Amino acid sequence: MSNTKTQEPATASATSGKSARNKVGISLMVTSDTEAIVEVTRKKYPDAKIDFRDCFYKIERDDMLDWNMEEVGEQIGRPYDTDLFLVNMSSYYGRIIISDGRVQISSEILPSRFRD
Amino acid sequence: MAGLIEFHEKAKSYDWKFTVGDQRPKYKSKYIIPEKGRDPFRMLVRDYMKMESEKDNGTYGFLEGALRMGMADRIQPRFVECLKLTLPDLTNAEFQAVAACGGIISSVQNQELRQGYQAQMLDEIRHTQLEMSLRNYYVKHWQDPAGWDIAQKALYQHPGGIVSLGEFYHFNTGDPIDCIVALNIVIETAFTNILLVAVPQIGMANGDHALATTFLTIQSDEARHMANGYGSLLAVCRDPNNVKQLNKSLERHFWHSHKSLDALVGWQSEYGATVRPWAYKDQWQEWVADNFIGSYIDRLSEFGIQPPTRVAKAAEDLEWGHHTVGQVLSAIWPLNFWRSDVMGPADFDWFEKHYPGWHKHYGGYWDGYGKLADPANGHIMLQELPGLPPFCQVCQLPCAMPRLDQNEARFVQHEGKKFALCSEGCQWVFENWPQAYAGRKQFWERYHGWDLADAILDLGYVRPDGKTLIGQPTLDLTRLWTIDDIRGLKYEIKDPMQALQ
Repeated sequence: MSNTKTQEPATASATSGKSARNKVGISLMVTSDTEAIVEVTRKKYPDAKIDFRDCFYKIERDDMLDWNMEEVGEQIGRPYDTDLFLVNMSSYYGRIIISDGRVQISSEILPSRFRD
Repeated sequence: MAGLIEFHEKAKSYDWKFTVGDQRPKYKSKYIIPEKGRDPFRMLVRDYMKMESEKDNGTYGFLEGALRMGMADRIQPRFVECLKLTLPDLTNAEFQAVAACGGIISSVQNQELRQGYQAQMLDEIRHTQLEMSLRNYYVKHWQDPAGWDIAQKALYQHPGGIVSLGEFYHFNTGDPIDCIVALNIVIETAFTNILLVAVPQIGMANGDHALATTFLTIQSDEARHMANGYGSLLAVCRDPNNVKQLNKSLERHFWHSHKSLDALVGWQSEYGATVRPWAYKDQWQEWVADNFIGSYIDRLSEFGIQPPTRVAKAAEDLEWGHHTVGQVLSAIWPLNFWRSDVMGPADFDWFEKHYPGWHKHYGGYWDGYGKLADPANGHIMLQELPGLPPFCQVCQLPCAMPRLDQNEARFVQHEGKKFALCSEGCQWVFENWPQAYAGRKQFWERYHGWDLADAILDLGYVRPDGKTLIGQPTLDLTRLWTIDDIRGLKYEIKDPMQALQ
């Protein structure tokens, strides 16, 4: 378990508001369920940045994070659903969509759900 | 068994448009609000109840455990004393948000969004209950309950509470879409992340695990509120006629939220901590500048949404703003309902390392402050000041920002009366919406000409013996200042605006 603090330094571009990013992220409070979600994420997205911050994890990645509740349930060892996933989610950034057995956070500004 | 999507679609196929009562919007909007709009969480009451019940079981279970383990005794005193101001500030926000949801539901004729806001209204009530449970824990188990026992009443009279009132009234006054901009988009998507996700890390570092658990579960609901805001924003900004006023609203509420939240949360994070895992300005850069501006607002440029023009100025203010707030709140300690703490050598080192130049600008003040802490000296910092700073008519912070020697205060006339404003941003807000701010009462005005001791008695900031002050200049409980000590100072409050009219 790493305990790195990886805040990026202040940048002129970010604070001047000319820094559109494709990153998405989620903050999960530390619980046993979260430990399992983090493990699933590590396996599925080796390129994800996972920060442990004492009482929560912050996971960030370019473009998309997508969790399948069956995969999370297998890791935990019991059936799992999106409601239980959301109990552990403190925050996110990007566009979130909850559907059958899935939680997706996308950098897409207009996910399909918003298009009709 | 049918899944979430099928259930949600089926529920929508019933008559979500209510058929009883007056269907016209209760509060008219200057925006064109399309009926299109999506709740990304597809929230249904069935799932909501299951989720919140699970959350509450975990949170209240933890509080029970904290009691059994005597965890309140292990918290750094400085942290809980500062919370006496900031936690009631948060509860005020929740109260205002309950009313906000009622106004939005009554005004936005979009049934799917309404469902999301109905869940949000229940959330806000849940948050007040969680915060009151946490406060109950402090009242009964914290070493010095004075201040906690009267916290909400005390808050609404205190300058720091007036800052939160001035900010959170935006949730439920004015145009319903502007309320959504203030509540769901600016506060809940940008600023509550620092308060409710990052600050719990400070709580943990300073021994307050109960606060960390409570705040993190509160923010788990805020995540849905962000989605309500996004669904609403996307619906409204699809009509190009709305975009100009949306940008103006975003500019206004971003600036005001920066002033109030960065002052209070920055102060709690650094002046309420003995152990500091991070500097506030770095958290702001991450959660507000990168996550909110970079990954959210900037991405909406294809709809004409623009980042607030004052983002860079807000970031610049973070270097000194909350240090000046710490200076002012400690200088007025007799008027507080918590015990202040003296910044010592370890604090000096940390501040200088993270805010180079801090010692030059604030070190001398804190040295002098520490020397005046003992009532036997018969002197307080307020007597050292040439005069009291007026409070900004918009954000209600002292006109001494971002730093005393870089004071950006200015005065404007409106309908024959002079008003103080702390910054160019607040001046822009005042001049665009004078009717929203000109009538707001000022703290000094209320007590102009009063002896400080009488003001404290009027505020009710004394302990049960009727003589000992709740506010104290240090955490030391061995020799507390009394109302007689204060009366002996013969300090008269003078509203600085009286001389300027």
